[in-house]
Amino acid sequence: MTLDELEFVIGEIRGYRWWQVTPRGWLRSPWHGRGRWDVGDNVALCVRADHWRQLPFYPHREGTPSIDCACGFYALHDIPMTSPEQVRYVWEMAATNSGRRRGLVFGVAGGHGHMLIGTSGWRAEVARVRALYMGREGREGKSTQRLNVAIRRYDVPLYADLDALVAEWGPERETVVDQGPDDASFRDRMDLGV
Amino acid sequence: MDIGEIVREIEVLPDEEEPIQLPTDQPSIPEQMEPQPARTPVPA
Repeated sequence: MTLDELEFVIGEIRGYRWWQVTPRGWLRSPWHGRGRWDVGDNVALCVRADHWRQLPFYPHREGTPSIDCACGFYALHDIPMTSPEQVRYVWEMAATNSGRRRGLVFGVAGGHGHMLIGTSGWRAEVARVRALYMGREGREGKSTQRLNVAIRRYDVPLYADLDALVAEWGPERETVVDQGPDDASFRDRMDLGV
Repeated sequence: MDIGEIVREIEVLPDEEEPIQLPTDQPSIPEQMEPQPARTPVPA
């Protein structure tokens, strides 16, 4: 890829995601890796092993995240609405369950750097916690005390109203849906495996 | 997490605002000092 083919955007791309609050008030990924999120910017480093060359990990030529890998920080364009009884994966669970199950808390992440935009969400090289949500019902659970530590540590707002979270921190739709699959140059590069 | 079909690849540059320099009491342009006439001591 040349620089001419890269599209540049100023600012950050926001998206929705789940975290798990640890007993000490840190936020970590609730799925693969369970990596802890630091305060401020978190920079992704792909740790995919190169078994052929017996290297513990190696950087992608095109940087992180790579199209051919699953690396990077993840977030979704839309708020998940699936009921807990019907979810197949954590990230599908309705946001209204924030704070009510296994220390899971819902919120908004901001991504920048190298980013891959998908039809449902994005992967980013750099990401940070932007805002968290926990409804009134969730505040009766064990997560409340941990979450209070987390919001002070990450210095982020905590919303009790999901609509307010969306209004203040929701992703800008035109940024994430513009130039979709009809972008011929992007499709060509995908077909070439670049 | 499933982000669906990848449709764009972008480089997002953070909008890092430069801190605004507030004016201080010091004038930006040095004032020209007028030469003061020499005074002869007045005997008390």
